[in-house]
Amino acid sequence: MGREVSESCVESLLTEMVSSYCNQFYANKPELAARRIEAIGYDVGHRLSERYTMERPRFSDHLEAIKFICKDFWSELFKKQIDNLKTNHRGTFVLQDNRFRWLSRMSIDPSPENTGLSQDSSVALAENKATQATNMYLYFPCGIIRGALSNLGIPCAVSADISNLPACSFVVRIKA
Amino acid sequence: MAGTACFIIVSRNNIPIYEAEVGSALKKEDAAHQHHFILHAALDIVQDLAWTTSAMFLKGADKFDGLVVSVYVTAGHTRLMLLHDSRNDDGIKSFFQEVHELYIKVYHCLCFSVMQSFPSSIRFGMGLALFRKIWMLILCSDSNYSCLVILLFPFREF
Repeated sequence: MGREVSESCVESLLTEMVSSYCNQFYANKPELAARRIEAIGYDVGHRLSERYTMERPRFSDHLEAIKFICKDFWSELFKKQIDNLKTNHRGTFVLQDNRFRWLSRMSIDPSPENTGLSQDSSVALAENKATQATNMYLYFPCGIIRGALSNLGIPCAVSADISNLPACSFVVRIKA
Repeated sequence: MAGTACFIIVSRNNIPIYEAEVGSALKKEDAAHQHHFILHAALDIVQDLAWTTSAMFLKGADKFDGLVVSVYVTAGHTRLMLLHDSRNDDGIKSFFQEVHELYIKVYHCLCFSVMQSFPSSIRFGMGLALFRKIWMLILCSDSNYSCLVILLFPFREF
């Protein structure tokens, strides 16, 4: 069970998946595209978690499962661990990755094209579009985390926050 | 004393996914499904036992009339349950580990969702592999067996 695929293939596949769902299948409905991509991630996470928990003992509580996601699961997927884990001890966890692998090759500066009077608003608009475009790429890893945790018996909602690239935070809210 | 074994895989939502029976199964009308009944009755006990430990292999979870139920619980709370009468613990543990590997391989198939039973083509391939393993398990066990009938139940669709 140990075949390997080149990383550039995986990244190209992800880029193409986001692009075809956003521009082709659900061209003017970004919410539907996002949900579809997240559902694909959910399935993938489900199956991956089954595979990566094979060799180790089972988990006795939620924190151990989250720690498994931060350490073993993340290193299998991205060859590194989560850099920072925060919790409010009430069912919310923040997983912070200081250099998220799948976004590491993504350009982040939107260059404003207008230099006229409406410069501020156009810069804001361009930034908003860039953030929206980058957010699309995060639905898949969010889905992976959600699928993995669901398979371990923890229903949750996962969202991503990219206020400072290339660092990326995933917020996991466990449903009570 | 014939060696018998009945094996089922139950998913986390308590949906049976796979079944196989090996050995001289009872053919009497009233006791035809006794093995399956014992296994299903053991589910509650297995559920309680699974939360008390973080080990995956729970041997001797339940007993009935000389038959023993051993269970292997995965992290995703899928239960591989084996009803047997031999005492070959190591053999059973390695059997469970091999089944777990096979299960993961089938699980990766995109056409398979845990809400259904395994589709027939996959079931057949897996069934053959499992049947061979159950056969080897019985062969290695200590009881002297006479294997009159080998039954491989295709799973009933729900």
